[in-house]
Amino acid sequence: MEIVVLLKQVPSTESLVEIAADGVSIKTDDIKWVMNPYDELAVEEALKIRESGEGQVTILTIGPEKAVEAMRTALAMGADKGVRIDPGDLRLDGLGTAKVLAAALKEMPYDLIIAGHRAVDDDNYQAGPAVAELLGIPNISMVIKQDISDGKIQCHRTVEGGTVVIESPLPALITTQRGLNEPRYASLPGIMKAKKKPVDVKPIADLGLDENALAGKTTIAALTPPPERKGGRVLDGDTAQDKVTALVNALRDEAKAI
Amino acid sequence: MPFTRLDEKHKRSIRKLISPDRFSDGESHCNLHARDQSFHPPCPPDAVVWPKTAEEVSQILAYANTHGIPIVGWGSGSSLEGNPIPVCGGVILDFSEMNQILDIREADFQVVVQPGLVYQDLNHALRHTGLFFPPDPGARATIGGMIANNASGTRTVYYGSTKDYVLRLKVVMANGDIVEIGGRSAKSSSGYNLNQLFIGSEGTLGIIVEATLRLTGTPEDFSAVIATFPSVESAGKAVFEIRRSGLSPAALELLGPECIELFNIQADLGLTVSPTLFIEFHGASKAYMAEMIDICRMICEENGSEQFEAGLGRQERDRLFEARHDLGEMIVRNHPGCAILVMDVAVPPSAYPEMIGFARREIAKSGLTGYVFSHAGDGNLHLNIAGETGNTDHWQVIDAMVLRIVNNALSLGGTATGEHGVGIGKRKFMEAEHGRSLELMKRIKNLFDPKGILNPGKIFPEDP
Ligand SMILES: Cc1cc2nc3c(=O)[nH]c(=O)nc-3n(C[C@H](O)[C@H](O)[C@H](O)COP(=O)(O)OP(=O)(O)OC[C@H]3O[C@@H](n4cnc5c(N)ncnc54)[C@H](O)[C@@H]3O)c2cc1C
Repeated sequence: MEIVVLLKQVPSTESLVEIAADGVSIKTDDIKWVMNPYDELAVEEALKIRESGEGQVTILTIGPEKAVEAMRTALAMGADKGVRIDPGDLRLDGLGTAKVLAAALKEMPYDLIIAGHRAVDDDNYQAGPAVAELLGIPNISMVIKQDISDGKIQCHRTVEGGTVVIESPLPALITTQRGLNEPRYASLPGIMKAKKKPVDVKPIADLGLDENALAGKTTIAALTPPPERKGGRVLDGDTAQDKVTALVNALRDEAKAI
Repeated sequence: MPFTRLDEKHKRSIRKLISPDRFSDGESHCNLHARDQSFHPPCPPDAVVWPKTAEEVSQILAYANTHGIPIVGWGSGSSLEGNPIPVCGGVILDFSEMNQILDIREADFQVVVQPGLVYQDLNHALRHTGLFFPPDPGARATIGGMIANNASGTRTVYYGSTKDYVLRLKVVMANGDIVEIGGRSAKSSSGYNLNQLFIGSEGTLGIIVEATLRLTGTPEDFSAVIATFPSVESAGKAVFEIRRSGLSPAALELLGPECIELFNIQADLGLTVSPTLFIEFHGASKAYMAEMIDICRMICEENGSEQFEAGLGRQERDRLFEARHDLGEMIVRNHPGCAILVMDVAVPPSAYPEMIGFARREIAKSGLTGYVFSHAGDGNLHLNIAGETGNTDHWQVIDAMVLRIVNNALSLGGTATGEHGVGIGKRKFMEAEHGRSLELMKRIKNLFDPKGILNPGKIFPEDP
């Protein structure tokens, strides 16, 4: 079974994110970069599938040189090899990213592609489904459990008040959701071995795509930080009853919550 | 010793030492810090403070020491012997906002942390470094609480307990002095090992405000086994033989059939309801582990093992250990209207089969429901017994049984508590367990905390 994991390096959610001077990007100097947490689930699931049978796990990422760090983490967890597409100066939006990934995938063997359902930096929710569409293969999103047999994959997905079970033939693309698994921890020998595992680097130009068609159809117009949280307020009142009355009034008249 | 209760004047003074939103004398905050996870009766503090720095802790302790106000550290409140219950009132220092990782020194296999950090969060932050902090009590315990109780867990048989991972501590003494002890070198023969005094001291000697911990390499691979036995005694015998044969399992847990039944009901594990061993090996090569498992299988079969299932997958293994960690909670859920007494004796390896047999007979005699489970590789036996809350007959039977079981453990050369600490419940055994060395402990306590403000009512039998 050939499994490809789509992986993105993103700013750690614990980093302090500040808007850069241009107003449409973030300051990256002090940011700690990590593997997108949903991709960590994807790597773990790929490794589990490989362990129960045969085959190999390839990590595919688009990103600059430093994106290899996130890829090495996946290799340290146990993935076999990596492919990094270097975007150069090109700014890719959701669809552009998917086109590049799909072009790279057309040159690789795959039975199953696994991606996070979103990257926590852009929150686009697009890459996975768009890649499936471009490759003409089925897509099952936000999977919390999967089972492969007889060339088919059966997936569970949570919906309002219940679970849907969806089945599709392979090859297919699935995206991960929390609850799918508990990603394993890297080991020191694993980290050592990862240094020697092959990582192919390809400039975007080598994929034979028309760069003009790739350039973002959407652009970021502005970024604004979330509003600062205001301090709390202690309600006046001598008795519990007075305080509850004040609370109900505040909820109804000011917050308009009830 | 009479302690000072916090009146409005003291509250105002303490409030001034810390930002006002990190002080509370509200009833709900106090009630949330009135009990741990044991059956010991709750007792609320006079106030709760959430410090963020060593200096804040120092100022509060200096004030409390001058005025004779009890101070009790609080991590997650997951103790099982009443350890953090403020039985004399006073101020709780809740460390949940002092929970940062200050420095990860990957190359030294060390990490510097604040006391309120939860160990699972530490390991999550370390997950890509190839390093981890092994002690794993079942609850979401904090590093401060784990050091104070010298906590251990399912992997202690191989990796050791919290005491084996503390290199350096920053401690605030009762009078407010900030002291740093220990060092960062891997070994040292310099002077008294003060770290070990604070480890397991349950917050009675000083308040831990920073710790440098040793880490170890994440195992590259593992191999997990479930083996069932015709009786708890035969499983216990196998445990002893496995240890004696020189195999070094990374986990060696024994579970009575009543525990397996609970796993099946509450976690849907579908296991055979029999006395069971969970065994795990950690190692770099499959060949090494295969050899270990072969020897292990032989020993289990010689001791009558009926099923020996090796080669569990990661998911199955994780589910077993998750269920094992949740067992305490499962027992509580299974007995609404009851309080659960948790026993925690430990004995030398050769005495383990005898100890477990004794405990089983005691449960049978009592007519109550008991659950036997055990970090068996450490000779550490847990026995959880359910008694109806308020049913004095039940609790008389339980008290008498605890007395007999602990005395039996002591007569076998064991201890009244393998990992949960003395807290309130095990004070009555201190004299029998330690004899004249208890006097030394008292003198140490007096030296460190002459006014006795630090977690009064714990460890020493005669305290209030
Ligand atoms: C379901 C369950 C399973 C458990 N399994 C295990 C197990 O397998 N092994 C095991 O060893 N224990 C186990 N425990 C017990 C408990 O989790 C441990 O004793 C743990 O170390 C307590 O940590 P805590 O953060 O909750 O500390 P708390 O209970 O809040 O406090 C523990 C003690 O430490 C003191 N303290 C807290 N912070 C500080 C500080 N900064 N400085 C000085 N003193 C301080 C407190 O005053 C108290 O005496 C279990 C508990 C539960 C509920």
